[in-house]
Amino acid sequence: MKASYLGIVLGIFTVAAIAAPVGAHHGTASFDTSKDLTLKGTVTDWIWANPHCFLKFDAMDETGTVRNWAVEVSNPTDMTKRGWARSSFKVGDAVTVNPAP
Amino acid sequence: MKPILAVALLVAVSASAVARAQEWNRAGLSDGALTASKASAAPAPKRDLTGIWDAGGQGIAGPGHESAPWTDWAKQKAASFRPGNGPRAVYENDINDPLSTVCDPTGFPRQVLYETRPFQIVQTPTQVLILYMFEKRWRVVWTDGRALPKDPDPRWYGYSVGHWEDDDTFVVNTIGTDERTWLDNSGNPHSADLKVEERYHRVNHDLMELTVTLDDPKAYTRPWMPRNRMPLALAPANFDMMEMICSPTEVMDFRKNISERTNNK
Repeated sequence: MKASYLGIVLGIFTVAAIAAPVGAHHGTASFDTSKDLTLKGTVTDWIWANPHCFLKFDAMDETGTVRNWAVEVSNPTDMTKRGWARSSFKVGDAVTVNPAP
Repeated sequence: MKPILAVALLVAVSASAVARAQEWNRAGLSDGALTASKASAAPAPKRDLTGIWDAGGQGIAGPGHESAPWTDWAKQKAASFRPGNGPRAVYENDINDPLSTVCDPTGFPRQVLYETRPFQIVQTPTQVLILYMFEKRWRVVWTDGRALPKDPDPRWYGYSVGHWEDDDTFVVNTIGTDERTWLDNSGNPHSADLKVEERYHRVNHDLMELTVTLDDPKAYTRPWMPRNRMPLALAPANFDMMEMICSPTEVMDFRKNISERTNNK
């Protein structure tokens, strides 16, 4: 059950991170959407706010160093349309994130 | 046995109806709402736009950053604009869009050209009020027969008067806008001389179309139409709009955590 939940997180995060600019204040120029990156970590904060929500979590980078990551997604309104909520994450949750760095 | 079962079912159905009626914090209509509205056979009420309307993705994304050709004045005006979208888009941390980076008011006509999310129309005997979900702002469109002001002080949302062209078409004329506002997120400028015409055409009970024409010879070589019959669906009367507000506190937090950490080249 836990495993399938994480699977959903991974899939939707991929979509959300790339699809955000449809209604966003900026394009994807600052992000490499072609790069394939998978991070497994622990949530340190879930900011449900305008202009865009973002998830902060601790996870190891490719050198094995634990870093605090911030992953930008869309605004609360559009995230709500996709089924996300202020309560989607809490501090300490285990997550697998597939972002465009 | 049978009567008891019937009572139990009825309770379940009415509880479900109450849950729907009390739904809060709606982000927008479903994707199918506009399609359903186009198929509606119910006629439009006369001279009545009352209700909550939503254009879905077309309203949010804006008209696609295409404008009429700029004048030299517009080129000079927009030289310092660093937008996040369109042909002049810059990296995230270089954006200086006054709406998304410091929470200046969206202003008019940007409010109907970009992030045109659900809005409510309220009609009184002398005004049409438009209450926007995006930024939780409102406009007053006077319908008491007054003329537009002569040489007005600029306002973020300008000065608007409206009239019914026919039973289904409400026309709004606006002047006196503030040229600090951008027209959209691709950084199209406008001057304080801008004249805007909005046409709200109610096609049937559930569908309305919005056409916006801009006439700003100081900034554009010809009038142009950034919204051309954009469809809007009527939301249910119990639709409770979310708040969607630019808070300086939240923007500063976003800049610190996201924008300033992005890879600008």
